[in-house]
Amino acid sequence: MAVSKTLLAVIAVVAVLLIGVGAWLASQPPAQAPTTTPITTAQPTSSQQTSTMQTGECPDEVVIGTAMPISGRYAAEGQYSLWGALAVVNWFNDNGGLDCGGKKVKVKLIYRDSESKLELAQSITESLITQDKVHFLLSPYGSDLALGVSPIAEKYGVLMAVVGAASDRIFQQGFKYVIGVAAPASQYMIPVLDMVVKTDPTVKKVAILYRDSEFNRQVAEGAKAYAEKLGLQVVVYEVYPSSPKDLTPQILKVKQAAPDVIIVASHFADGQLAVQQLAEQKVDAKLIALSVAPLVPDFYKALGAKAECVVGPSHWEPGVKYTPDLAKQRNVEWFGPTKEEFIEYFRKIAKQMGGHEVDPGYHAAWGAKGVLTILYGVQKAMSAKSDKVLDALQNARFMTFFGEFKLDPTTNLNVAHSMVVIQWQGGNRYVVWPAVVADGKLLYPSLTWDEKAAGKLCK
Amino acid sequence: MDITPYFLTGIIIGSIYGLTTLGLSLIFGVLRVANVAHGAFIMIGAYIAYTAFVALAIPPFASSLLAFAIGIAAGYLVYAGVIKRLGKAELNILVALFALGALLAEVARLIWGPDFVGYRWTIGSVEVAGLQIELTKLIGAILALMITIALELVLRWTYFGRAVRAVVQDPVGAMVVGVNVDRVFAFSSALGIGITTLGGVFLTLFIPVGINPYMGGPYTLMGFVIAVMGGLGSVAGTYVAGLLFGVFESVGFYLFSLAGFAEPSQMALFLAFVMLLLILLLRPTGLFRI
Repeated sequence: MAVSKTLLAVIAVVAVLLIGVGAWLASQPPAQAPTTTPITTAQPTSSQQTSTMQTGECPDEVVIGTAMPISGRYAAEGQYSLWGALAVVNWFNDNGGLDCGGKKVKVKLIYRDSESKLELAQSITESLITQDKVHFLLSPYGSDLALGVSPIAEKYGVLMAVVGAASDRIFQQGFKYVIGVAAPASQYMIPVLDMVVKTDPTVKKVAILYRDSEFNRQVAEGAKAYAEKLGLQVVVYEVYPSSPKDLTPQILKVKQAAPDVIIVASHFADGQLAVQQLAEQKVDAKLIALSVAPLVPDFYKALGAKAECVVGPSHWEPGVKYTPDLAKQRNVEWFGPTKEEFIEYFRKIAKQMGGHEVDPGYHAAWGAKGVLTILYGVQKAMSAKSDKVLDALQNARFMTFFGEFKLDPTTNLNVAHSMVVIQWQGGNRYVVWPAVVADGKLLYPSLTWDEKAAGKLCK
Repeated sequence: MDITPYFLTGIIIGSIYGLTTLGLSLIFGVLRVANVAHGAFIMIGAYIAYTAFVALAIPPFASSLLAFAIGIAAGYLVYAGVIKRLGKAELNILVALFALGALLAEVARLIWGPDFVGYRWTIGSVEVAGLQIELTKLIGAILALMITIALELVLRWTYFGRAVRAVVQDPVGAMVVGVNVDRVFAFSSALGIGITTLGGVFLTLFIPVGINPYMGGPYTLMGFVIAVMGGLGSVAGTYVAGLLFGVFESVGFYLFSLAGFAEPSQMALFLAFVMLLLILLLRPTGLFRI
């Protein structure tokens, strides 16, 4: 049982060195992403995509594979993304299948839990392609996992729709077969800043705090660049550790700078911690915006009135109004289920797989959008070959309940999708921007912490 | 704004760092076992605080007693079921504890779900040197100090404490003079994990909204370094090391920020670990001896 003192000392010194070097590396600016494709093997193998189809024809069944994490640190988000994807698959199958040149084609989603581990996500993805012979892939949730499996999709030439991963870096690698269906991280705060300068042209000072992670850094960098482009002064631009216990030092710095707008490029727990500690230190601002955290129902459950008036950008909310009628007005094609149908199918799946009915959030809708994009491409190309589907998508413009889609062939990103801004008002989340899809009105300026403590609600 | 608020912030969070590491240090010092499931027991303590507050309206300071009792039982089971059974197979113990940590996280996920949860408990705040200090945190920090002092007194003045210190210094010698080493091991494991789950409850006063099945990992790593720095098995040393760690983090941020570093929080963390490394090199047994 006794561990020798030497071994203990060695373990301790190695741990200190690892953490010290890790912290030092994390303090360095990120390396520039390569702009050329590092993978050279881009041809599909001969066994690819032949299982259920004849060349040049619609297959009998479209098979999509995913190494979605449904346990580990991304368990909640991965689960919702998967259920969202399954809701769309079930909707098509219940309606006879995907219409492919007049032929009804069934849709199948093969999923395996990657446990939020990169190496597992990579081996599952490879096995989905080589063993299960899937036609297409949905990325796993999480930028690190999606980035990690992208070279595999590229190597085998299998089209992968990226869902639940917004890091710009995924799309800066020059991968041909990896496409984005929603806005990347760097664009998250653009609608928030647009909204604030249009609502109040006197706004001048912005403070930005961000979590030390790839995704959050890009959210913050995008926000800083856009704020400066709008002529705003970024008075605080500060990183905090990825699992912070205490943000008081950073928040004291924000307090000193007295900004008009506070932006926190956060994830779940740290975003909630930031609001809690802004309240503790009574740091008031005209607007407080966070990424990710305000979109989770538990945000309000945990913070109560402190969450009032907080805003955040979202890829999709149940309140948004993308409908077949709006598609007609904009003269674009409508594809897939309506919002109401999606919500109904999602609830069924959630009850079946999770034991209770829940409403979908943006993770679920994003997962669904990935499947919808692939299926739209299959319908247009009348083929399940990645190259043909990619060609079809590059010339397509269509609308789903998630929003519009138009692929930029240079970046492989969906440039037609605009994020919405939500605000917590009276314990509910309302879409307040842009007006055309909003179901609420922005309350500005935000209540002060004293007003919130006195029980005043943001409505 | 002067440095005082940053110093106070560091002291308060450091007090909790110290408390949550006491159990790890005790087990490490007495049993020579690196409890890699440490963070999982902190997580269990955090969930006990959450459940007691949300479901039963029991405030955290009261639920900490429940967490302590559950931790003691768990600590005894860990000793009897894992550490004692695997005996001298130190690597097997490490692997078993690692597996136990992963198992506890997945069990917590089954019980409480994968989402982040939290609770609000506010009893007011006081302003000191421009810093608003929540009373819950202040009381938590003071109680952490008192628990540390109580544990130190137990180790200094009771038979059990003297036996523990004897085992830390020389297990074979302790056995020769009649100390029941097996019982000391069992008590230490129970007490160590009891304090760890209790620390998890206190931690929720600081991260009231970040409770999650996988929250424990960073605390295991940080706890390991603080424990080694303080001196393995040394209660006072561990607490002081926790305080230093908190102050390095907070004051370091302020100083690097003033100096114009782009990412002062990372530099502060780097500085904190460099200081720890220096202390380890100069005093390999840690700041304090038991």
